[in-house]
Amino acid sequence: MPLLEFFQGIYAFFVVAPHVAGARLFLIALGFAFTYLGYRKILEPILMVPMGIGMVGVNGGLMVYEAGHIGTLFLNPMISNLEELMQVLQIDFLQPIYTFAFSNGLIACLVFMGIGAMTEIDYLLARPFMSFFIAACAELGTILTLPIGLALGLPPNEAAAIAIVGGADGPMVLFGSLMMAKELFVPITVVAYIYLSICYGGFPFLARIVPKRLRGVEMDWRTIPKVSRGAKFAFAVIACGLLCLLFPVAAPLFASFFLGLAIKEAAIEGYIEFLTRPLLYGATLFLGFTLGALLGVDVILNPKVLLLLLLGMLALVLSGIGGLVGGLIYHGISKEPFNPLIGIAGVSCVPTTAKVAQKCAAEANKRAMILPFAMGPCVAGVVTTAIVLGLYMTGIPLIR
Amino acid sequence: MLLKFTLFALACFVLTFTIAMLVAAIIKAIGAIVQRRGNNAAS
Repeated sequence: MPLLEFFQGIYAFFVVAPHVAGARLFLIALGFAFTYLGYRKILEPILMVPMGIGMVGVNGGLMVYEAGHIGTLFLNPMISNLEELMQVLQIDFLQPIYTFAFSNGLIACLVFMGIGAMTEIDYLLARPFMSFFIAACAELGTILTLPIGLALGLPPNEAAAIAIVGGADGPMVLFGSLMMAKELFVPITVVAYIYLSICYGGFPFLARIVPKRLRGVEMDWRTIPKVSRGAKFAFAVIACGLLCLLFPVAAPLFASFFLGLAIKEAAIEGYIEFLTRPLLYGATLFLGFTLGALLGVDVILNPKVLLLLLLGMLALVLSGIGGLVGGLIYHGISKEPFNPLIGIAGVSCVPTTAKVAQKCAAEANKRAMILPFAMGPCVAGVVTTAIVLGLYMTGIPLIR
Repeated sequence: MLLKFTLFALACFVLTFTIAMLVAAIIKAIGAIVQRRGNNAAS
């Protein structure tokens, strides 16, 4: 047996076309880069470290089977035949996770339960109209990217799936792309998570469209009324019922998020501990690792990836602009002092954008404390993005 | 098709606004009910 064939991972470089081998090398390098950027905390480590390792593993661990086929022992997302699936489930070690938790959106729902159990809704409930007004304005990118994607040649379902990146909510993008554009869910979700990781560094530049004197407007956080636990619990249950009634297609997401929220407000300590620690971290670990393992050569060689990168960025930027414009409008109509930077928090990405709003306000005026106010639109953004997702998932098949 | 989906996207924007404001109104109503019950219990 030739020595090279003994080391299958290296041998596999020589049995494929040069551009495929080059793309494989690029993905291995990108995997290393993600892992390093996660390690240095430049990108979100809880996602980027497992994703990077998954990419290195799947692109390094390519082998030539006896029949001459090239593949890995990670997973095969393309199987549709039941008999073949049963066989692969016993061979590929990540196939059970993919088949039973990815293709039905379960992993996104598990992450959402954990997020729900961690979310503070006091500020949302204290200022509901302001929060939802700003959050709805910050859906501008989610809305405009749909026709822009269509104009650039994407079919409606794919344009809608990438538009959801504008809602800046990773699990929502994963769920939406799995349900609307399954063949593109890997690049769309990876694009979303990369952009969400760089939100903290990128959005402050966008916030400069607000004049400096308005960025430093002070707000008195002591005026925020206290919200009782009963009101928060009632909101979780009623909002869940209403939104599931309106959008059954997105009901798994709504039910998961509000279940976490209801458990938190009901103070069921054992469940809270389970949802916010083992479940959330376990789901995020396998989400990142499986996404990395799905990022093979075929994904990167898809010509649509470049378009997705462009549209994902556009969706987030437009949402940021929409939120800031909403903040400026609210500043104009509010009787109390209102800092328009709170608008950027409507993009969601809890709690990153609220922190961005606070950081930019403090740069303009050290005494400006807007974080508690910004948390309202930040959480409302999760609900408004889920509403847009529900509208897209329901409406697009009807009008196609 | 582009025009049809542009109109659809705009309709989604309006609907999102409407539903968001409906949820905000529900929150206000819940707050008022909970506060009234608290006041009744206190008195």
